[in-house]
Order: sequence, then structure tokens, then C-alpha cells
Amino acid sequence: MLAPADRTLIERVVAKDCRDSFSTLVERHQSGLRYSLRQMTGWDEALADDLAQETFIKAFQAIGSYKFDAKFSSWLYRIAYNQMVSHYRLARNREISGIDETVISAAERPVIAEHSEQELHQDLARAMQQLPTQQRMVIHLYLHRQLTHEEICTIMEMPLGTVKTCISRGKATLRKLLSSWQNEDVA
Amino acid sequence: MSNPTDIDHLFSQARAGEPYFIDQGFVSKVRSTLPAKRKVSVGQESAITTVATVLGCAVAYPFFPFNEIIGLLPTQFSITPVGLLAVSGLASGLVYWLAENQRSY
Repeated sequence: MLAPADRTLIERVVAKDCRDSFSTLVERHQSGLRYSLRQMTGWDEALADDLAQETFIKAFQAIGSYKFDAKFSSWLYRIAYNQMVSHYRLARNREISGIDETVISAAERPVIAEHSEQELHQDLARAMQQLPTQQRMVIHLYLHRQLTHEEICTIMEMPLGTVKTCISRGKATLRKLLSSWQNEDVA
Repeated sequence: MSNPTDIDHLFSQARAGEPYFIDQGFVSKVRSTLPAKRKVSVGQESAITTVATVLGCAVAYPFFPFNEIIGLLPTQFSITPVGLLAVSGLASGLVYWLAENQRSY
């Protein structure tokens, strides 16, 4: 039997407050969102999972306002981004000290001969952590999720020119931060 | 001179090897923290509120002192420069607060 589409599940949640349908949506999107939030938080697994949980709860509360004009996952990214911004706004001082620590550890990281796949994900996340929050999200949506510039504009509510600038600046910064990965393939 | 790191290639490797996180109780944790189920639907709640409001207005209508309230309305309005500044400040504050809060779902 074919699994019901996101649209059908969302309609059931809106019309009948159906928790089972929402659970199916969570099950379907949890891995991608948790991975995205790990990338956004410098691979802080606990924080990423907390933000993912809050994102799904917010999505449930606001699901009546979802208009099917974008993919459900894109809508989730928007909520997740807002959750992340709120979190960092509340813990701004802690975030600044966290960034400094990461800068030092990244600078001291030795160039290693062979990288594993797990190291690649974690190093990308740590390098992304050096970018400003908005630029980090844009880079993630573009390079990880391969969304188009237009889709990113919609999710981030940003003009096209700003999105393009964020991508080019973000890539330039990452190129420097990830220099230890030069010409490396994962093992 | 060393070659610049190929960011697109690195991210393409990351995409290809993106891990799948198994549920491990995540879904049930989300489900247990969802707001309690409504006893009446949104539509029913709106209908009940509307009917109650209309009934309340109908009951209050004969007793409502329309003429007295209209008589209390000022026919002239004047504001001092300080008052104008205060109103502008409040309006700016309100606009800023709305702008800061409009993105929260």
C-alpha cells in the first residue's frame, strides 16, 4: 500500500486534529531536519534535537496556516530557522563564547591524511558554525539541500541579490576554514 | 600555490553520505509534547463564540446609553509638542515590536 502524501496527512491534521497523521509526518521528516539542525548548530546533537522537537511542535500549532505553496520540508526549515534564531538571541553571550572556542579548535585541527565520512559531516558543521546565522542557513539550503535561489528567497524572506551574496561570501569563508579537506575524498 | 578547496565537491560528498537518523523515541517524544486535543473543533468554538456575542449584544442593546456616550465624545482635539513626541515614540515602539514579532510562528 502506498503511504499517503504529505498533503493528505496535513489535511487530516487540520480537519480532524489527527495525531497519528502528524506522527507520520514527523517520522518522515525527522531525520532530514535533525541532520540540518546538526549542521546549523556545529553538530551539537542535543541542541539540534531540542530545536527539531520545538520545530515540530510549532509546526503542529501553525499547521492551519500552511498554504501548500511550498514543500512541507521548506516550511519546516523556515520554522526551524526561526527557532534557531530565537535560541541564539536568548543565549547570545553563550553563543559568542562558543564561536570563539570553535575558532580555536578549528585553527588547531591538524591536517590529516585520510578523512572519514563522519568527520566530513562534523567538520562541515563546525565550519558552518563560523558563519553568521542567516548566511549559515542560506548555505545549508543551497549546498546541502540543493534548493534553488528562488526557493531560498521564499524560505528566508530575502531578496535574490542578498541570497546570492550570502552564498558567495559563505563559500569563500568555508573554502578557507575547510582547507584541511583540500583534494581529500572520504574514506 | 595550493589549489582552493572544492566546496561544491565536499558538499556533494556530504549529501551522498547523509546519515539517516533512526527514530529512537524522537517521534513519541514530539507526540507527547503536542498541545492537548481540543474538546470542540475550531469551527464549533467560533460558532459558539459568535452566537454568544450576538445574544449578549441583543440583550444589552435596549440598556446601552448611546446618546450619553456620543455626548462624551470631544468635538475639538489639541495636542502639545510634548504630547505629540510621546505619541510618536509610542507608535515607533509599537511598530518595532510588531516587526520583531511578526516572524515567530
